[in-house]
Amino acid sequence: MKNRICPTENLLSEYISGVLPFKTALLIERHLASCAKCRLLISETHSVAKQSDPLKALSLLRACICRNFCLIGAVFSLGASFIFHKYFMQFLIVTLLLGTKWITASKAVQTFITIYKTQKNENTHTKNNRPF
Amino acid sequence: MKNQIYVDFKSMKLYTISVMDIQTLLTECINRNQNAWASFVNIHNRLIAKSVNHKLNQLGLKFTKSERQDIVQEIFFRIWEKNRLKDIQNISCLENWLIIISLNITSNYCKEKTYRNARNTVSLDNAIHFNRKQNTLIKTLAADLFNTESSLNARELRVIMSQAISKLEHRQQLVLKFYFYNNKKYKEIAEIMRIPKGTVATLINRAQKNMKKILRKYI
Repeated sequence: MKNRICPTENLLSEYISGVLPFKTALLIERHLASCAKCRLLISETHSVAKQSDPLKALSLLRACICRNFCLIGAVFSLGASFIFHKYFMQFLIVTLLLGTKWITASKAVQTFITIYKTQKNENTHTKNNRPF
Repeated sequence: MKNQIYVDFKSMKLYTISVMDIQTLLTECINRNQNAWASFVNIHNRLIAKSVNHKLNQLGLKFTKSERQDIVQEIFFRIWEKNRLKDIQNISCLENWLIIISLNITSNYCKEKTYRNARNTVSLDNAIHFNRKQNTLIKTLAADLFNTESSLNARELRVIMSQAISKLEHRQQLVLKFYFYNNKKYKEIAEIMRIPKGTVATLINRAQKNMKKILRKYI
């Protein structure tokens, strides 16, 4: 198999299912290392297959809960602060703490922080390189 | 006998079909039995719809529900028309084969309909879809448009990096590309390549060390 000729859909599906003989799988891997299109196809197939498996859907749900643990905790403690009036302030503080952690841990905020940092670095760099 | 689990979301029932049943269903479909084809469509409709949605989301295209349904029907039509089920040699690969076929057909469908071009001619004042409220396209592009030096440097760096990666052993290359270019986790790479997670980590570690050796003259 030449590296430039992409394998058929059948071969790719057999590779991802792990039923190909070792030598053919090696050839496919050699092709995948050089072909971005097939690599993307394999990667997408893997993620769709993972999502569509009903048994794996539960583990995905678990992962989602783990990812948003702080948000869920914040909502629960906010609710609890209204139920248990005696500990209103304590629950409110916990809500604030968990809420801030959730906000700072989110991807959007992290990208903003990295953008801010790079801009700050660029500014200092241009200031240092000024001729006058 | 190995069973496969299917969920019928209309009736919310979980049911299993033995591999033998799927094999007979497939042979009936190849022999152009319309009832068998109807049940085949019923079983795999959701999987194909999911693949179509995944591809459209990847391409950043927003299609209406009916348009998405059109693509799903197009996929089934093409499979039926050319009797492509004949190509399947191993029954256990059926689902993966269907996903690959639907991803390819969706991508071709988008190209044919020139949605890709429409996406490229978007107004600069439009909001970017992942951060709708604040960032417009012109604000984001501005940094790259007017900073030619850094963009040229980035391009040069990309060429150097790709040359360095091509010098690695092909398995290291593949693992490295899955990890950095396709944003796959160790576990996912291990699942795709059917190797232990530790081997993936070792391959990436070795690849990084080799890359350091190759790129030493630039550091």
